[in-house]
Amino acid sequence: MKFYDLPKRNLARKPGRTGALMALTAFLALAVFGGSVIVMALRSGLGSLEARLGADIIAVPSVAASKVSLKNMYLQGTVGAYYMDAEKLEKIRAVEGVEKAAPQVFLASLKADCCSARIQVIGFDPGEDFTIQPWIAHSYGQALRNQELVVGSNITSGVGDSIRIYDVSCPVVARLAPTGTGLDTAVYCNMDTVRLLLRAAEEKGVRHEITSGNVDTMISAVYVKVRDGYDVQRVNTAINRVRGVTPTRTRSMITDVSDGLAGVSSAVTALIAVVWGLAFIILLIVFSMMIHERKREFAVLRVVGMSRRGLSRMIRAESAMIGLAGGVIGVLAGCAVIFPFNTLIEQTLNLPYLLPGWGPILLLAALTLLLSLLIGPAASAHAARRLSRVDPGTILREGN
Amino acid sequence: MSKGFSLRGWAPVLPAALLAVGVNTFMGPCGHGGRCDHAGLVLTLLGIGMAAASLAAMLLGGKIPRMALYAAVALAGAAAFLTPGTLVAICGMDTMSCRMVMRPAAMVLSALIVLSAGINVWMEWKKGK
Repeated sequence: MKFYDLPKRNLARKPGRTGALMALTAFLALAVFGGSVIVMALRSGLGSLEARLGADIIAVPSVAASKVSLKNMYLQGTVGAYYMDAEKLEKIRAVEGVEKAAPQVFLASLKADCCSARIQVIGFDPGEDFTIQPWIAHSYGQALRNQELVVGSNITSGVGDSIRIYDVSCPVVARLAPTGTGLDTAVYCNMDTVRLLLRAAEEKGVRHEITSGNVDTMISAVYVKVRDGYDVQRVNTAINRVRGVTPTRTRSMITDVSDGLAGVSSAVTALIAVVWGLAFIILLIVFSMMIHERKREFAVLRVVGMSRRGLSRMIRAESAMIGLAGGVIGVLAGCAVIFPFNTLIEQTLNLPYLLPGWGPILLLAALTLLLSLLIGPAASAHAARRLSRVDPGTILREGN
Repeated sequence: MSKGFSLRGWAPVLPAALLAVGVNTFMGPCGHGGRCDHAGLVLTLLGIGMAAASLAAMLLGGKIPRMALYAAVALAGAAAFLTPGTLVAICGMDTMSCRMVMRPAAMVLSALIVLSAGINVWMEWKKGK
């Protein structure tokens, strides 16, 4: 008989108790693994948001700033379309401390039927842009030609497909890597394409609130990079003096998100700590009761020749098997919830959410399994030690 | 004839019933008559069929009929896994309810059904060996 045969048989003899203990350790493993993956994904998402924003200040038309939240556009992918004359771009460029200012034009598509959705179209000037180009360059190294689109990762159309926007068929040339932000539901094109789509929208009777300028001269937002050595807040204040423009510091957007993330992270960590604390106490009690209930069985094993150490090893092996099996179930359950429902979790949390790569996830799974493997023996150690010190003859004579 | 009311007998019934009910309640498509509604209908029918077949397997005696029913449930589970998005088209955006809720829920539940039905086929085959 191999060493693990006896613990396996002991566990199989009491399937209800074994199942309940495995369920408890599975719940522990789920709490640790699932909670940790969510926190890691939130941190990745925040880093991604910071990297993707690129600019120090984003300036939008004042009329839009009160109606549309730029933060919602980045976090939830809320579709927005607002416009101002291109002369604002020149005025912003003239502000002291502005190193670069790149325009973008936004457009919202229509929802054609219930299985389509409104998407955000973002037009940028490849010659001046410094926020989108570096990101697109990872997926598509050529200049975007007219009507060509680069799509965010949550748009299911792939390279070679076409997307129809206001009856204009636009081929998809690249798909971007996920960012965990609302930018994943946007499509990107050059300025000529977005102006073509705006004209197509007007031909279809879809009016956009272009209060000044015309389709060929208006813009939606200006992304500003502040020159080194200048205070971003001061430059922000100076841009605020440009009539009809409201600037937003991207740092304040990131700080808001970061505060939200800190709250969620603290809550998850506290939950994991409470769950583990309670579960350890429960396991301690259950293993004590289990060992007490089986003391005559253990006394017989001692009488037939099992050493104290062997008895202790057997008890630790049983609890380790329960812990490991529960850990595997918990990690698999965590995977079944976290990965398939990734988008639902992202939408519910309303924070940037980007799953980490396979390396960190596998490492986390391994750590979770190790913790699950150790908690059982840790909980049963005290009771096993006490039992091994009691005389087997005394136990067998009890109750006679 | 022996009847197989047991925990492992119920194992495929519960997720199949949850699939049939869930697709019509909290984990369904948008319900506006689009192509994802067809996927929802197929999942409902598969869920009902799998639950009924698993219940029948518990009531029937005989190793071969039970094995056949559980094998059929496993195959239907595989079909349910592939239905949303592969066998039947669904909506185009990841943030729509058919992609965000219905598809992952159907995949998880049908994986459980395939696993439990497969284990039942094996356990029935092992019986009396």
